Amino acid sequence: MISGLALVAILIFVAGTIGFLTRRNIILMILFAELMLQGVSLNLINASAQHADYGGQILAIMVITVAACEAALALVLILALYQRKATLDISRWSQLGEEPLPEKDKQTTPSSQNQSEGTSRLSLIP
Amino acid sequence: MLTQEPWQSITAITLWHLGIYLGLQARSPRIMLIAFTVIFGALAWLSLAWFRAFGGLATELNLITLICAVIAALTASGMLLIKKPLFAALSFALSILAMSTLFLLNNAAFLMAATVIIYAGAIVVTFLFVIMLAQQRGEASYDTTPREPFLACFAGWMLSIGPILVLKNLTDTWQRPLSLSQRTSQTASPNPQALDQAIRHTRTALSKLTNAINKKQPRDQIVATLFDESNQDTALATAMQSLRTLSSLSEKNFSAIHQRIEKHYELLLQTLAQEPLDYASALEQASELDRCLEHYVKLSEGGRALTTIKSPADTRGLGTALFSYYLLPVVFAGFLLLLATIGSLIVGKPKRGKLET
Repeated sequence: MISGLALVAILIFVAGTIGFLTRRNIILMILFAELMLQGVSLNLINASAQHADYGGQILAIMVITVAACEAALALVLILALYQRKATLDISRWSQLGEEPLPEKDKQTTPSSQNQSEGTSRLSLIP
Repeated sequence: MLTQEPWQSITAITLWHLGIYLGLQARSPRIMLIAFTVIFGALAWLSLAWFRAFGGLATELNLITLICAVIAALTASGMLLIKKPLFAALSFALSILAMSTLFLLNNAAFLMAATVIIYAGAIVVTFLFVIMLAQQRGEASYDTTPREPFLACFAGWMLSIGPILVLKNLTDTWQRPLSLSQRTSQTASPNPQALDQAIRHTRTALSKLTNAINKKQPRDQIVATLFDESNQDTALATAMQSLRTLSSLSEKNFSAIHQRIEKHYELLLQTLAQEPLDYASALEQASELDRCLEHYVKLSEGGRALTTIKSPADTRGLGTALFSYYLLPVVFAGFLLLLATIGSLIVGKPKRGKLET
């Protein structure tokens, strides 16, 4: 029956949505996004069985591919974020400000040296 | 189930959302227990309605489907309410396992295996590694306090009510998507099945003719099989005549292939008309005509022949569909995986300055 399993798929998708909105842990947010994709896959496979056609299953395989790519990229992004603030709290990243960047000074020092060299050379020209 | 009593499922889903909201707000274990009870009650209500819609256990709805559906939904909601990230991830793994059983019950054996391997085997374990490395001090404050639980539950409620109300209207009119021949000849040809049947008849007649040529029978007998009026199925000339009339009705889309078939049929007749019969060239013409007819079948079925599920747990059919009709998406998926690998390598590459400090 199409509607019974479709209802389960809707519930799982909605659980993923609510979790993605309410949880503040970055890792769990990504996991909830995966749960949403799984709900979509369940719906696709159910429709595929109903229509006796492989189209839905093949779309579900594509969904799994996208989910694997998403998980790999998301974990790398989480690691990159964790290296900067040492927390998994997403609300720490709620504003795209550039204020707390202690590495900025270190990075600017070599470039400022270059600039001073450049200016000194420039001053030598005339 | 939805078509018969949508209000029952809507009420159960509302109850489920209430339970989720209660559990998200819960501070004490007792309220959490109440929330879990409410969620379980909602799921039991849903499964009871599902059960009653079938009038008991049937072949479409067996006990394993029901149990796995309840486990999948219950663990998905448990993942929402469990505060510790480690146990939430384990709950996710359990939900994935239950769902892959549902895949298996829905003729998707390969996807069951792929889901278990990729999700439960790779993704969950990788996430568990990250959780283990990042959070060693147990519960953090951001795990215990949810963000905007009421608004999120309301949004989820709206999201789930929408499809139910839409599906209620849709399930009555849901049918198999039309094949190419049905779509294109809906106005032109009165009966698309007749065209398929005519092509099939022509192919059987042609195979009989090919058999006769293979056996190196005398020319008269071969020509007799061509015009055998006693059995309509095996007369190639009659089959070609009916094919011609049917094709003229849907001429617009299949004119090119039909012209090729006509050309090869003429060539075959000319070869057969020669007095010392050249068996090799006749065989060649017949096989060429057969190839054209096969192409015609594929055109008229529009890939339907390749992508139809013939039997439950038919993994070979999935592979055939995947690497013939859906080859381009597979290539793109591989390209996407390659891009993701390169991207994660670039993003995750440690900075040289950071390694030294």
